[in-house]
Amino acid sequence: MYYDFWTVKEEELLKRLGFQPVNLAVAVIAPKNADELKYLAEKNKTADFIVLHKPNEKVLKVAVDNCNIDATDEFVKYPLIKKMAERNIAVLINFNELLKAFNLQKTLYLMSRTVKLAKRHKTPIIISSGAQTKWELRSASDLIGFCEVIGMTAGEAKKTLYDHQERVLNRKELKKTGKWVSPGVRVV
Amino acid sequence: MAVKPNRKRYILFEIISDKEIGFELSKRAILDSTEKLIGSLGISKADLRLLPDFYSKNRGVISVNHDYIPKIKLAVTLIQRIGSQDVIFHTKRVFGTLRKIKNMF
Repeated sequence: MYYDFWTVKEEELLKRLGFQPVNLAVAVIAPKNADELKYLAEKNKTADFIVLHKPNEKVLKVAVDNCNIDATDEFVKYPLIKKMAERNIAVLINFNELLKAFNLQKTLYLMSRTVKLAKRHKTPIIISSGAQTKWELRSASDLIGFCEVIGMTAGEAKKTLYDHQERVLNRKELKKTGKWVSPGVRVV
Repeated sequence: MAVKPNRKRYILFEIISDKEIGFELSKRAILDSTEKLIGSLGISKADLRLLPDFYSKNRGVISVNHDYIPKIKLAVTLIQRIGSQDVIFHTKRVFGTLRKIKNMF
């Protein structure tokens, strides 16, 4: 079962494209400084999945240190990507960025570099269509093909569509039952 | 020295749009997008062909070298508009022979 978290709510079309529609509160935040990040993270505390959209390096560092987010679509470099792996924060590859890219070559290069680093440091990778309209949606098999182009094997590419997402969905269920306390802590 | 034969694969695709798109328009869009991504040399190496006999009702078949399947898939996925129509290019399945696809048309 494949999931696309950052997308438009078009259930019929999503099913046709090979995705399982989920009822998830996704918050995409784009803070410009650390104070704004703190405010937005507090505001979206109830969201099931928080994506940090294109932050600057300072904001990303603070977000990773405080574990405020679940994923970021920034092309992260070495020291931070290792920290992200330790804190289970995913690298999100946004396909919409490629569709709207002014410089396709550079975007592809940055994406493959991020994937290479994420694989090396075992950071979770998520791929998403990042669609804002229904015409920007792409099918699961196409996203898998794209992952193969940017340096993943077929198995790894498939994992990006369900592995980390299932963990997020499990966490949502735990929150519902009141067993979830904080990242890494739960009532047994 | 023996020459390895070209291992062909057939990609079955579907164009999701409000109106029906003609064969020539889709062929042009696929070629343009692929050329933008992998270039003319890449197209020639991929042995890319859109089969006219298998095109109907926004569904068609691309014949391609097996090494280039992900690249062609990506190139085709990057198509957003054909003419004035917004489209979603959706590659459904990859086949090894045309016999199975024939039943689908």
